[in-house]
Amino acid sequence: MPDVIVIGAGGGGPVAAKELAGRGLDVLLLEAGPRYDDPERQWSRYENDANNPLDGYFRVGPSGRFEGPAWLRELPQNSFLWQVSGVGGTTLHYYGNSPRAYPGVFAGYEGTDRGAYDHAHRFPFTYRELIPYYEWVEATLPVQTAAMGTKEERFFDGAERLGLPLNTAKDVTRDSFRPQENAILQPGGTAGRTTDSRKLVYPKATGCTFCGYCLQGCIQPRRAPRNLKAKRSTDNSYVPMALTADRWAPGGRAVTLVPDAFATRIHTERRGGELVARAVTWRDTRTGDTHTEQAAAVVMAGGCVEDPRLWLNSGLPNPNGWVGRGFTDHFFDWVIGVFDEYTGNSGGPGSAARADYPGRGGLENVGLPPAIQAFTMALSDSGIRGSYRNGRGPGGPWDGPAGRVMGLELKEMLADVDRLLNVLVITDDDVEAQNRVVRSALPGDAHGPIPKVIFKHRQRTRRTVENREFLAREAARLLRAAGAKKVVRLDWAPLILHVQSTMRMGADERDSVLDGSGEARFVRRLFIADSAALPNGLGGPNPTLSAQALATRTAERLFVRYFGGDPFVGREAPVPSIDDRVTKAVLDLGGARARSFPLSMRENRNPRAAPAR
Amino acid sequence: MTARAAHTPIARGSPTTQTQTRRQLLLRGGLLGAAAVVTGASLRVPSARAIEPLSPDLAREALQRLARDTISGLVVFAVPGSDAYSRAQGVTSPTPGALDARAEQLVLDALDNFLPLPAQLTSPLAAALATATADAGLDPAVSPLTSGLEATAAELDGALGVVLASDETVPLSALVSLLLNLVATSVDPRAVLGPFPASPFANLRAAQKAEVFRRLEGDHAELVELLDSAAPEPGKETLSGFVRFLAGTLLEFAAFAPFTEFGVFDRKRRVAARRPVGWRLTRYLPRRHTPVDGRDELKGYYRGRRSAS
Repeated sequence: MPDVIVIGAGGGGPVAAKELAGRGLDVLLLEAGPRYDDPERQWSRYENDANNPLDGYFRVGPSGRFEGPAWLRELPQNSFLWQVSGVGGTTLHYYGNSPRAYPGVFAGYEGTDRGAYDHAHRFPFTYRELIPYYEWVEATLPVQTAAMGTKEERFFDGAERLGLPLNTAKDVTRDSFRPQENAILQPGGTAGRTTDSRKLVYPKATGCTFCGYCLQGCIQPRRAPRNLKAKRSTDNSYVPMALTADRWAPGGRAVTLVPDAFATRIHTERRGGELVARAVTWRDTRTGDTHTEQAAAVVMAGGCVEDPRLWLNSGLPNPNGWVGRGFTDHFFDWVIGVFDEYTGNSGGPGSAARADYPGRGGLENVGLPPAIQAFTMALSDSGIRGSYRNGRGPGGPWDGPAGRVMGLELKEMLADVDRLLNVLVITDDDVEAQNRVVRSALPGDAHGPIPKVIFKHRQRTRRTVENREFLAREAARLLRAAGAKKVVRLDWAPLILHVQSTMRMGADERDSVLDGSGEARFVRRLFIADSAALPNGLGGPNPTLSAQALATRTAERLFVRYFGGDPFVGREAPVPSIDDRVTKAVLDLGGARARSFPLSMRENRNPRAAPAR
Repeated sequence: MTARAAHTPIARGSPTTQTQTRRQLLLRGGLLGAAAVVTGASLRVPSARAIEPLSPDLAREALQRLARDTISGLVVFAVPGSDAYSRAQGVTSPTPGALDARAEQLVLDALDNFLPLPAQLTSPLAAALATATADAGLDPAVSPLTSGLEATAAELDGALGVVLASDETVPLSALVSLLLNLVATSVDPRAVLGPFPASPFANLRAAQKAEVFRRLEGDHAELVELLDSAAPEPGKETLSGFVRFLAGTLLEFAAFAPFTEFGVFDRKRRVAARRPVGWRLTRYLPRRHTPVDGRDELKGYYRGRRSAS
């Protein structure tokens, strides 16, 4: 039996898997969705082909996207839940944004603005304690200060004119702006300097080619080995390292990755008066066969929506009712500026410029190709501009009431996609018990009862709402300062994309699922290593880096507690995912098309059936 | 809570009243108009008879017609062009619109093939097809024009009954369209008459289409009554939440679809056969029909900074 089973190969699972494998543990990594072993061929980058939630290649559903429907989640309000299934999870479509959390959301924070944060739901340890884990992940991915294109220049121009100072540090201590700290390799050679595909092949081009398709999956530069693709989604970074851990880590052991494996149950038993995790059952989504495997420890990393579902479907205890509760989503909003000149909106990395407002949240520029740009203009809680307000339609330093843009106005605003500039409002939102994941009363699917994601978006706390209103006004001011001739605010309905805290770690056993080490309070040997484990919304910064730093810490704790190991973060230098040893190992496995596991390994693995509970 | 079986509402009132209200529902839902279209009958000629008897096959065809006309009316609301549906709504545009990008097909495909909605959400709508309970009154000015279609209505009733009694599922696009049409005829009862007999929604002016969505996003008391969701409270709440979710999702898809490559995409070769309408409308990647591998957008590093301390 493996030492550890990790459920989910998204943003966090591969982090835990790679760390444990690097220490020599035998790790089985399960992923519900498919593995893309040939992305240059499999990812067309066309928007409907990629991002249609029902049949796009990044949909949440079984592989064979034209053979059957996506997996349904119940959403009882106007909202859009943006999940991805597949090895890489939502890092497949993310922008690589890797800011650290704001120090104010951690225990022991003594800043003068400490009253500005969600102090009832802090991290149960200090920011200082997490820094070595941040540094470890930043070196592994790696994370770099982003380069600029036209849209970034415009955003910085606006920020400067607002009088915001430049932040030159990793940590945020005041209202400021900066280039993103991105998990994207810097452009080298011809990258960013040409549109000619023939000149953009590796190694003539290295790093980000400014293609503009972060959301459709990063395949650039063409012919680069998988671990040298520009965007450091986990399928390009942590997964290749996990699969080759025996080649770059002394005593390391290659992870066994099983895609198309939907975990349906975590099995437990009573040992010494405690409930202990001991096995996982999963269903092969292509054949319908189920398998069960025992392990000494289990790590859940299925994400904020799937973790509570699996927990509840497994009948695991929920004595304080906090499984699935406290969902933070950064209560997004969206403000668009229309310019008289070129902004380069649709090119370059998805987001390379941001402004931070500790205690309130943040803003970031986002670039988009045409169809998703149009989608962002049709999502709103404020009706349709010029027609109805749905009880809201706030006014402010933008043009007209907030609301959806439809019809002739939509066509007019989209007449040139490269004369738009988008600002995403990322709110520091409170952890609220009412925002949660439960099991739906609708019929289940092949994997059991389905999740229902509830956001009471018109009943958020006053601090949350005020933060969002402040940031929306700032976004409009920034766009006007940058030269926008027209500014529209959307007042988005919940776009559930930044997800945190549904299985939260906390100091208080009355409102947390995990203790300070990431282990479940009610089930021993069960850990959670994804963004659901985060105690709160981080004050607003994009969650992936913090989820990955926490996952690293959790893996280390697991290793020390149950395998007699020594802590390693901060005591040695991490191997970056672009290291030559990793590249060589990836090439030996098949290059950019490195298969997830040698077929023989999968066939030789003998799942031992365990009695079902 | 255990899953409930599909709920069949109990019709109220006398059999004659039930028949009347069901016929009105068929008319308001666009089904009667769709049946008229596929059989060559006419809604405006009181003495017209159905040209051929309605069969389940024709009933299915009527449902498809209903869906296509309604969803076409939806997508041109988001992105008008110069087609007949745009003209009907009174908002047109000289540049290509949603139908030029085959946006309606994308939405129909999404609804019919890939949206895995369970019966708990769809059966109240389907049940409304089979029986109606609310007093779905018609505008007195309209009734005389449609009263001659009693024969067609009777046959449609019978044919639909066969379709619904069989194992096949009514396409979701038809159920969604039924919902849009029912609300459309609340907004304007005369919408049953217009260039699109199969879709009162498509006969609405643009401002009236917006009103349909205002009602779908708002309070649903009238709508839920109309569908006779006699399910217990959690059922009503579930249905209401679903309707709001659906309204938002329809508008999002209606805006997204026309700007994608869908209308010209060769699924086998995974490439657009020619430059998509949406790329032309937005001046995206001029002269191209395939995505780029890179752009000459690199301007350098802000104030020369390549790392943070």
